[in-house]
Amino acid sequence: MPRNSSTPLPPNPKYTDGEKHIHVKLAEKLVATRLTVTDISGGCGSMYAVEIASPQFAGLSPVKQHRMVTEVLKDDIKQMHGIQIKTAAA
Amino acid sequence: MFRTAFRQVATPVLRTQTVAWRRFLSDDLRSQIDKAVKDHDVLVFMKGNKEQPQCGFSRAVVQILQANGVDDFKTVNVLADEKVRSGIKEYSNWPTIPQVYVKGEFVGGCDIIMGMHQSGELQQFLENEGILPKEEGAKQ
Repeated sequence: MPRNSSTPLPPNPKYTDGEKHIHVKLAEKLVATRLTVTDISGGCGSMYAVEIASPQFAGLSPVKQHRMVTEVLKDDIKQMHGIQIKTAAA
Repeated sequence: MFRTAFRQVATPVLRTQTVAWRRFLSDDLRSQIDKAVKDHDVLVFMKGNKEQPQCGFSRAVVQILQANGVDDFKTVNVLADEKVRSGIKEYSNWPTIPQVYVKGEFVGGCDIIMGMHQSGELQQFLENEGILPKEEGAKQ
């Protein structure tokens, strides 16, 4: 496996456990350059807002970009009521 | 009228089998969804309906379409049928509701529709698809 030149974007120390769990998955799998995960269900872990930028999104439609995110999180999403996603190529 | 398209004919229960997680979508339901998305220029799978959306994200999509001048779109209330609710997620390979189809093509959920609306892209897209009349003298 090729060695990454940089380590995954570290999670915000103020994250809830749920936020951190999601962040870590996305940071690693999608090589995020910017990433914020926010529990918008009042800490219940049932709804999250994800903002993520990744070079892997370059040239892909928004639908395709969102699908990449939901694919990484597919098991977690089963537990959620909803998820909001904002993606950018960077 | 719409819901009859999805009303399941009473069939004997299939013999129990462990199904792979992905097989919620029967061939029958798949072809019903296929037909529905092709039969309607704009079709929204949502929670509730146009008059009474039952979720903020579904409501947002309805309002955005209407704000863009699209009144004549059809909706499917996934809360009325659990099979459609899970089936459409498999059909679209998209885990959330609402889902917007234009001329048989999946366009996106609330986030994407909202983004397109905010950037003006939605208006353009709807004009290009012939859903909205092109504005007179519009710049190319």
